Amino acid sequence: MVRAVLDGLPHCGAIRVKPLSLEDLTSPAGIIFAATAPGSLGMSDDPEKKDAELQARLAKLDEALKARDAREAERAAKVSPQGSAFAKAMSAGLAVFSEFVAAVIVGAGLGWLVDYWTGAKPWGLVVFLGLGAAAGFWNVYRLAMRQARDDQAKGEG
Amino acid sequence: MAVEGGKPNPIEQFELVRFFEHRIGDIEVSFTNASAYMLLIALVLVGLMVFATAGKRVVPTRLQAAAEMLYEFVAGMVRQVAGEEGMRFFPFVFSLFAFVLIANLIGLFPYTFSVTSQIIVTFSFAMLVMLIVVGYGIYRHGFHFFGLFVPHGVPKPVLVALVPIEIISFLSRPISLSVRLFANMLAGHITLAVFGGFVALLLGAGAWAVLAPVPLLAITALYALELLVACLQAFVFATLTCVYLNDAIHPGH
Repeated sequence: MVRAVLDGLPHCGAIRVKPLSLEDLTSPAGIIFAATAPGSLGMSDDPEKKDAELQARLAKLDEALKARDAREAERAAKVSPQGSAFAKAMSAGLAVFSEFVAAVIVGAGLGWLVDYWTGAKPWGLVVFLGLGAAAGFWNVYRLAMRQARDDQAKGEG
Repeated sequence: MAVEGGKPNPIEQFELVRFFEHRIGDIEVSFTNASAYMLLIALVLVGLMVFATAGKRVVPTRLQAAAEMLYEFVAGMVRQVAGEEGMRFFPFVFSLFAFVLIANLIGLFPYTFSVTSQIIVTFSFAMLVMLIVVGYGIYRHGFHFFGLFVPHGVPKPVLVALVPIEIISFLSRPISLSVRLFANMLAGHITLAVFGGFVALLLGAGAWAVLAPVPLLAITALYALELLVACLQAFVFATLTCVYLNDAIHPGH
C-alpha cells in the first residue's frame, strides 16, 4: 500500500517533496504527507533539471524505504518466538530424516527396477542401494551446509 | 477423537469417508471427506483473496491487510530464493503456499480432517513441482539442463560415481519434499490425539481422574507448537519449491 503511493509519485512531478526523515516513513500517513506536502516553491522550469530533481527525490525515498525495510526485518528477527526452538529442532530432525530416507528409497527402487529389467539379481539392488545411501548422505551434507550458510548470514546481518 | 470400545483411537482421524461413491471404469473417483476439505480450502482461499482485495482501499481493512501481507511475504520469498526471474512462477508458488497453509490451519480445528496428513496429497504436490522443474528446465535450457547432475571442478573418474549419486539425489526430492510435510502433520495430529486419549482414559479411571488436567495442559502447549509447525511447514514447502525452481532457471550450479 505504501508502495502504491510511491508508485504514483512520478506522475506528480510538480509536487515538491520535503526532505524525509525516517520517522515520516513509519506510518502510511507520514508517507502521504511527505509526498504531498508543498516544500520550497522555487522549482526550476527547465524540464531536464526537473527530471534530475525528481530522480534525486526518488533516490532519496528509495534509500529511506530500504532503511525502513532493514529496520523492520531486524525487528521481525527480534520478535520471532523464543519458544519455537523445539518446533525448529523437530522440523530440522524430520528434514534430515526425509532427505536421507528418500534417497535410500529411490536407490532401492532403481536397483529393483534394474534387476527386474536385466535379470542381474541381486547386483542391481546391491549397487543402487549403496548409491542411494551415498546420495542420502550427500543430501544431508548439503542440507547442513545450507543451514550453516544461513546461520552465518544471519550472524553477520 | 473417537473412543471405540473404551479405547481412544488416534488414527481414526485420518480415515477417508466416502460421501458419494462414483467410479470411472476401474478407477474410483468417489467424493470423500478429503475432497470436501480440499474444496473448502480452495473456497476459503479464493474468498479471502477476492473479497479482501475487492475494495482496494489505500488504508486496508483487516482482511485486505492479511491478503497483502500474504502476497508480500510470498513475493519476497520467491525473489530472495529464485531471483527476479523466479517471479514468473509466483502464481504457482503462491497458490501452493496458501493452499498448504490453509489446509494445515484448518486441520488444527478439532473434528476436522487434515488434508496434508495424507501422503498422496503432499506427494501429488511434490510431483507437480518436480514436473514443472524438469519441464521448464528442458524447455528453457534444452539438453543443458542435465548439467545440473554434473558438479563443477570435479575430476573425471570421480564423476562416474558422483553423477549417479546426483541423479538419485534429484529423484529423491519429491519424496523428501512430500514426506516432510506429511510426517510433520501426521506426527503432530497423532500426538494431539494421543494426549486427548490420556484425558479420556484418566477421567474414566476413578480416582486417577484428578490427574486428567495434566495431559489437557500438555495439549494446550502442543497446540501452540502445532500452530507454529503448520505455518513453518507451509513455508518450508514453498521455500523448497523455490529452491528447486531456481535449479530449473539456473541449472549451472
